[in-house]
Amino acid sequence: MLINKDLRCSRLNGQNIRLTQIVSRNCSTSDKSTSETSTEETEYETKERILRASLPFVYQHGWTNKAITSGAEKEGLPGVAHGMFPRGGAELVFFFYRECNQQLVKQMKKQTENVEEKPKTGEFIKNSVESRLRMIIPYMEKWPQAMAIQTMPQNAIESWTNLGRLMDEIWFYAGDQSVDFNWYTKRASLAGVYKSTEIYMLQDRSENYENTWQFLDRRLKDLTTFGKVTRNVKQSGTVASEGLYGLGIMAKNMCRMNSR
Amino acid sequence: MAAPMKIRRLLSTRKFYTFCRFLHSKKQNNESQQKETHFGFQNIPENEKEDKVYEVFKNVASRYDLMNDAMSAGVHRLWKDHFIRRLGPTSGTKLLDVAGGTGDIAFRFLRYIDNVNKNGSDDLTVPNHIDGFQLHQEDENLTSSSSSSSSDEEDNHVTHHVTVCDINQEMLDVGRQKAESYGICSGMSWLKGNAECLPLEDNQFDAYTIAFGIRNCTHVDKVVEEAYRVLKPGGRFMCLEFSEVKNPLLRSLYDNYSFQVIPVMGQVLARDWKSYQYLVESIRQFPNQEDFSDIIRNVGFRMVSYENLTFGVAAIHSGFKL
Repeated sequence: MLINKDLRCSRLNGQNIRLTQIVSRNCSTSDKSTSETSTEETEYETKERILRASLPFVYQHGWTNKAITSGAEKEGLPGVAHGMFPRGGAELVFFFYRECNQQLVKQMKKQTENVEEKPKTGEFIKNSVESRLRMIIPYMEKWPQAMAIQTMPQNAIESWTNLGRLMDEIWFYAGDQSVDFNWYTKRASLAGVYKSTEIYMLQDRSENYENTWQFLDRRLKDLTTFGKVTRNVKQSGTVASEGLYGLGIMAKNMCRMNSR
Repeated sequence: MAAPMKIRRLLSTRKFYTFCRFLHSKKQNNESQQKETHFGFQNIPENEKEDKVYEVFKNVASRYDLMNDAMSAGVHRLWKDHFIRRLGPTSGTKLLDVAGGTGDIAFRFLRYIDNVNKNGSDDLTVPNHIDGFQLHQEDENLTSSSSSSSSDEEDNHVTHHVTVCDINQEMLDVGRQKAESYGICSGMSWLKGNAECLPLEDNQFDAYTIAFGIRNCTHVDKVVEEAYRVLKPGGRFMCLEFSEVKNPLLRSLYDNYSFQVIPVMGQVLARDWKSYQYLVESIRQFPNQEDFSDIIRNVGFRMVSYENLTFGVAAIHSGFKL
């Protein structure tokens, strides 16, 4: 499956993709492009520097231009540098989302690399989703705003890509190697679980978000039971159809209509 | 069909002009190797342009705002408002507004910051204490930090400043009078100076704006270089200028309006045909969106971008010094 392969490639995080772009550019053209890439690098670094410095201001100003302004000022740059981010707060949200994803990837790598016994898939997925959701907790008060920003039409595509990548990372490190349609259903259903847990979390006031983790547990169990049921239906379906086929032949024999 | 004919006629006059100047310049070149530049559709020696432009703006200064409103049917106000909104100045911003004689940009800048300070924020924010969203451990930090921020804002309130720079004393006088009538006395200073060699030190300003001015300068690249010099690292260069209308149909309409209506309007309202003839011609001589972006990029600005306003009649160019 070609699409499947592409998606696997796109698992690389934002920075890696940039690097590959730069590499391919370097290969194709001469010195001029090298200087261009270095300018691109500095641009990228400056932007990242500002966004990173802006995150602490989210508590105060929310996911807004104002937080970016404060971040830029903290970095010793003029406040008008927020103009580098034409989409304003949305860019800050996406930056945070990508950062968290990268952090989770590092964590999952550690868990799966150089380990004798592979962790159990169900548990691994549950832990990964939970630790990813826990990264939001510090920003919980302003997170509804971030979710709203992500659902705005102009940001929706990037939000979906980000969510898709996150799901792909989790399944990849969980050891998923499916190459059929299952690949899509797995990711889609986990995305559903993740998103609904995220929403549940917003109104959870229990100690240490206990209710959320229980909610997550229940949803994941639903998934496994759902999977089991579909498998059962499939199996019993084949048994039933074979049985029916047999009955048909018997009926034919009884009516002496069997041509064989 | 009349429209294209007129344009053709127009273009042929332009060609004729250029041709005459070409012959003339050849003669001149033989005599002395002098560089030429354009003044509208005419070519003139470089050293004359500054004086000629000075003459134009001296003539129109008193009626400048009226004519802007009349020619653009008030749209120039929207462009300038949008321009400032794009810049999004903050309470600490130090702005240099070049060629801003009558203070159009400067007053908007001050008003924008006043509004932001008054409303707290123009952005969408979630109220701090919606039931259920109260943060457990951060609550104390929050209250302390928000109180410190309000005191910050009060401090910052006086720190924003705009320096209006213009080469033309008459235009500056009009601006000063306006400031007096608005009762603005702080946060603003006036400076007479040439955009190509600003009488200012390096790395001083957070933002540099030039609205409908760069077209009139002899060396556009020099102006942008100066902008780069006086900006702090991270500072933003923004330019609002007439540009190229790409759509052929709109373009023919626009050309007709410019060449047939504007000089007449200038004659009727400001008693000055030639200045407004120069105005529309100089718009055609100015590099289009892509070429001007290249100039900005070549000077060293990064993240260079432009945004068309009203189909490209005007365009906002922007770049950052890193």
